[in-house]
Amino acid sequence: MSLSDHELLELHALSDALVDGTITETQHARLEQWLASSEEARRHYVGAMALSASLMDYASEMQAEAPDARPTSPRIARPAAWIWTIGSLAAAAVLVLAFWLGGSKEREVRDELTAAAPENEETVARISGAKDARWSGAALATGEELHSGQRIELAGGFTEITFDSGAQITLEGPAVLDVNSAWDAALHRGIMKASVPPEAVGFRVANASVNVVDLGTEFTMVADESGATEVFVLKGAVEAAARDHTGEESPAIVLREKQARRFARVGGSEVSDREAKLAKFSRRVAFDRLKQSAHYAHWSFDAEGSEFTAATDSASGRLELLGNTPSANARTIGHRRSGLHFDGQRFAKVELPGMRQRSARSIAFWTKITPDAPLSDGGTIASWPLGGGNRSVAVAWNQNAAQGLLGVLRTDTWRGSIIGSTSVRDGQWHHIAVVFSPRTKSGKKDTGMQLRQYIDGRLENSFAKHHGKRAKSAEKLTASDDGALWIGRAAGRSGAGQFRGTIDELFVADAALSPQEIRHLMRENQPATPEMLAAQ
Amino acid sequence: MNSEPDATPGLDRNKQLMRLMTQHQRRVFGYIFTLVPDRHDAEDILQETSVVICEKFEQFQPGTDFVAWACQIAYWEVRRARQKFARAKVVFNQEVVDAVAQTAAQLIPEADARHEALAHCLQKLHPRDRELVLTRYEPGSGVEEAAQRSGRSMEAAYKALGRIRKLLHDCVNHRLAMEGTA
Repeated sequence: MSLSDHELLELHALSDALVDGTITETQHARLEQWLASSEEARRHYVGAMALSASLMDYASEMQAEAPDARPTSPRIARPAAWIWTIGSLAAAAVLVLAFWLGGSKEREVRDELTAAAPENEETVARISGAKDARWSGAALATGEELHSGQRIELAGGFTEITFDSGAQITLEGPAVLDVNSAWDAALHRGIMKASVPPEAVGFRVANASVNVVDLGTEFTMVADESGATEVFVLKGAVEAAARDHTGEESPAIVLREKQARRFARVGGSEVSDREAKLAKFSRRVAFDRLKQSAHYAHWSFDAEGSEFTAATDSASGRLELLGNTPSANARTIGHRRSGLHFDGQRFAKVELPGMRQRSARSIAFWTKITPDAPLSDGGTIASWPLGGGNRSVAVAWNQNAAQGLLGVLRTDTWRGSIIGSTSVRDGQWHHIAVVFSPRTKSGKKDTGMQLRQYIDGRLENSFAKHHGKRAKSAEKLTASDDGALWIGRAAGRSGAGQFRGTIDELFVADAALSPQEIRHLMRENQPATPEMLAAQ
Repeated sequence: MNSEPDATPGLDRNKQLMRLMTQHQRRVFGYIFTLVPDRHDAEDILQETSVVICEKFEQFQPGTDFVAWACQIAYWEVRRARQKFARAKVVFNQEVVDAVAQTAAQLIPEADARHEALAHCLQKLHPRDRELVLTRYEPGSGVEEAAQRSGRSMEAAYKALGRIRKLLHDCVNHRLAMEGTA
């Protein structure tokens, strides 16, 4: 079968509409029908798409070399090169790639390779305070993000490190500490005090002589030059397992409040001057902290009627109920006073200026999800557009058993997903917080992003993605569509709502909230001031 | 295509990989773009694909067709992305993706000839048209920018682009037919 001229024209028009993003649903269906049924149509379509891909290639060359250059000969046209950076995934060496338009010289490749390596690490903690800190390694400023595997070398003074899990470590110099993950650090030398809230139980500090797993507590570790470590429990309890010179661990012992133990590689022993040391370590350090001034919008859903306006000084913030069920009976019993009920039809939208921007942002709310909410419903609880095009972030309960347990919280973006382990589809109230932070390491803007997901104050998982230069330039925001937060439906999707459950005490903040700030929202239902956090 | 062997024995394995990727990324991108016709999304998948290529490079048989191997990996990355993000707006259903993927794989051998033919065809365009179409495809640009820079209305720009793409498409087909490779 040969396509007629008329049919070819139609295929051209459909391919153009697809490439230019103007395709309608009818046209899309029509194109699919063509592609499913005709090999000739497929060949034509592949040719059209290849043409567009080639044009992108030529156009980026033009732009990278000289804005007004004309294509001359394909022979001198250089393909855009891939740049290699060594990532840290598993032991396998080569990993993350960044894009580069233009030069493909190997020297540049190597430079980028070394320069970009630390950026591929996930951010797992930040410096949250300092007092007379002197650094023997790289100097770190308060507020600075720490990536997994980063070594902190303090010559003197104090620094406070807040892990994304919520655990906080006060380090007293001279000290050397490795930040391994949001849940794990290694103290090689010096004195540290760990304060671990209940949400971060399981946080672990180890070194060559001992492995300490926190059971919800405050404890101090002192690692001396000889390789011995003393562990003091100030509050709560820890599990400590001695390690011998081969790294083999003895069965763990539980140390309780006011108990202490010395772990040398040859074995454990009592700690001398226990009382005096405990008293010393219990003192608090008055840290200089970064004053972060986040702005919050808060919907309590407590006001009478069906108008829901944010408690914020900004002009907007009116939450609009949509969908084909009457909005009059949307209020229901919430976590605090009343909340907003979603019946699988209703959804809500609130215009939030700048929501689409790739700047730091946190959203937090309480939710109670019907335990038998059908899998056929979309699980999306909240969603907002992010960046250009139809990209968005969606917070949902998991419906895909192949990817994780049914009903666990998941956060999806085009670039990846966080799939948690705690079910939220259980008819109980859960506090949910999702934190988005753009990566701005090494003074470069927009080198990627990171998302963190907290359930009931506990970090479930995080997801980091770094993107290269090409992606950066391809992303363009238009002022007309500044973004909105959708509740009960995926952003940019048409049709009815999808969510069955209740939402209450919704907060949106224009900052990447710390684990302490999230806990404060959860417990106090109001934004934390720096004074409140310092008093914790 | 691929008349030269795709891997030279003795060359350091990493260098070899880098050389192959640099040389062939455009083809792999073209393949992905036919399956996921959104530039940004296709670039993301290309990035994911390249990660897998690095991881699996040990399995690549030197001397065999690197592009075909890479496109197979890309195909699975498209499938994976599709499963994960079934909500994305313009994604074909799996049957269509499979059918198109098969056709695209068959057409890989002529992809280079098409790409080179396009350069000649671009030369033949009226400079104003060439300027418009290249502006449209610049990274970070789009129809709107192309319209603005060329002083056209959006509607006129869409129309002109449609006309120019058809001209180029026909020109490329014609050149290939002349060369007897089509």
